Amino acid sequence: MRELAEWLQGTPFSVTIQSVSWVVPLLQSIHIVTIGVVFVSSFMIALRVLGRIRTDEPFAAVWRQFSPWLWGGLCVMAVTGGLLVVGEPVREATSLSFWLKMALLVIAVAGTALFGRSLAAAARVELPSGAKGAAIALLVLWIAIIFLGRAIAYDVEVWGRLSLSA
Amino acid sequence: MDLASIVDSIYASGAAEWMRTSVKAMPIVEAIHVMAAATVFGTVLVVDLRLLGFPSTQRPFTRVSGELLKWTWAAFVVAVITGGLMFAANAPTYYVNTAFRLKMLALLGAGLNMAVFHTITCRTIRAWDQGVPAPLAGRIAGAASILIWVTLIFLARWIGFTKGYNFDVPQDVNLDFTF
Amino acid sequence: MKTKVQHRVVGAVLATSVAVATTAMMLAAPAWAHHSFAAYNMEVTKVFTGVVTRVNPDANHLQIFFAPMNEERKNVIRGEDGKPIIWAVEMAGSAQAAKEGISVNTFPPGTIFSMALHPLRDGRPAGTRGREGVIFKCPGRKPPAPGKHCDSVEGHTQYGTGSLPPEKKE
Repeated sequence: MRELAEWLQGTPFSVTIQSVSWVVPLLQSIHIVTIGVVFVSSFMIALRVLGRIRTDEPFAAVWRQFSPWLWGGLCVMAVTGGLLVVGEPVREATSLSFWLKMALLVIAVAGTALFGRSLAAAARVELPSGAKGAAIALLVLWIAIIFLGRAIAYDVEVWGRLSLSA
Repeated sequence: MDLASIVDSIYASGAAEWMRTSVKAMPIVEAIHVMAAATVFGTVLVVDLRLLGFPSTQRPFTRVSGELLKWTWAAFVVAVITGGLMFAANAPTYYVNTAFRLKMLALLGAGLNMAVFHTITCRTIRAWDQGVPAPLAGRIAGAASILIWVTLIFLARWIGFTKGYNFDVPQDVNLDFTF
Repeated sequence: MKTKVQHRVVGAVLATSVAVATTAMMLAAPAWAHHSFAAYNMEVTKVFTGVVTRVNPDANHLQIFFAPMNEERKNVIRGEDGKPIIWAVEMAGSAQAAKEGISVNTFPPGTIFSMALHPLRDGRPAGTRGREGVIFKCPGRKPPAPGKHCDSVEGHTQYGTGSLPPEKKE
């Protein structure tokens, strides 16, 4: 993995991202704005399941409004995040936070898709009893992913001996 | 007491010292700040888009904003506390940073935009709360709000990349020596 | 039809926001540094022996400002205007650096030390220590012999592991 990262870091495309001064901050800025879109979409869906907002609308309506923002936002983040990884592959590959984030991301995306599909189908009837727990679990997952994203830059500080970059 | 000396005393405070000496303080406070900022921006975006008639004007504006603004404010308070801690840690550096100053200006702009909207545009809220487009002033406020918040986040990310260097040699440091 | 127009309005607002935000950023930032090694040319290595002028215990990246010494290790290098040339080196945050023993107290002004750095791409006299770069501090105010670094001076203090790398030009 380390060799792959070293190789990627030497490719002309990666070198361009590294060396054009405004590229990394611009990608990071777009990434953060999109966190707002994705996280709050997920937050809205969870609040509806918890009965805190929009109880005048069925869950399916809330899901219809916010899931496109969630998926669209995730696509944008995959692009900006992907480019950031290409720009500094060694830093990401040697960060425990990065790998944990990717693992949780897979779980969160699969969980959200499953969650939305099963609940939106149950349109007007009462939401299943496990839905609230699942909604909270998904929110916690997204929060953990945001924390880990910020922690990539601080691998030694956050993980100490467990850090991959020490 | 001038602003620069206030900045210096913030820098000398116990909280600032804690931010500089605790290994985990900065990453954790920064992560909470990102979370809080994302929540502020996302919830504001939902309200702003409703002002622009998106996805529809079917739900009353007062209802959309009413159920979200408490989350916005809660997140904003968290963002101010965490942001304050981050500022304190390196106060003199941020104080002279252009991106930081512009960010504070953007924050002021967001506040003014909101104040004008709530005190003037919202007087006629009954006429456009539901089913009809918001008046032009309302739609402009919504669009301006999105623009200001996105700009604010971009400027915020820029601060870390433009902190710069103060190469000045302190007066009491003597380099006129020969070994 | 109506929603199509609305989609366009929202799209236009979001696109304008990103454009304005980017412009604002560019205006705010004539110069760059920081976080992630993107701002530095990691392919270039410069090795310095210098005299500390100031330590900025920045919580995100501690900075040591120093005046590089000449090859004879007798004086600091001066520019055409006669003023000492000052360089800066950045590393981990102040807390992490302190754990290693690097702080305002252990590197007071006048401290002579040697280390390697990767310079900024934009040409300003600053660079990053990179990952775990080794630093040697000379004992007292004893400079190394001409052409040598603090690792050659008896009684030096070492921060980090390994030895000073060779200079590397692009």
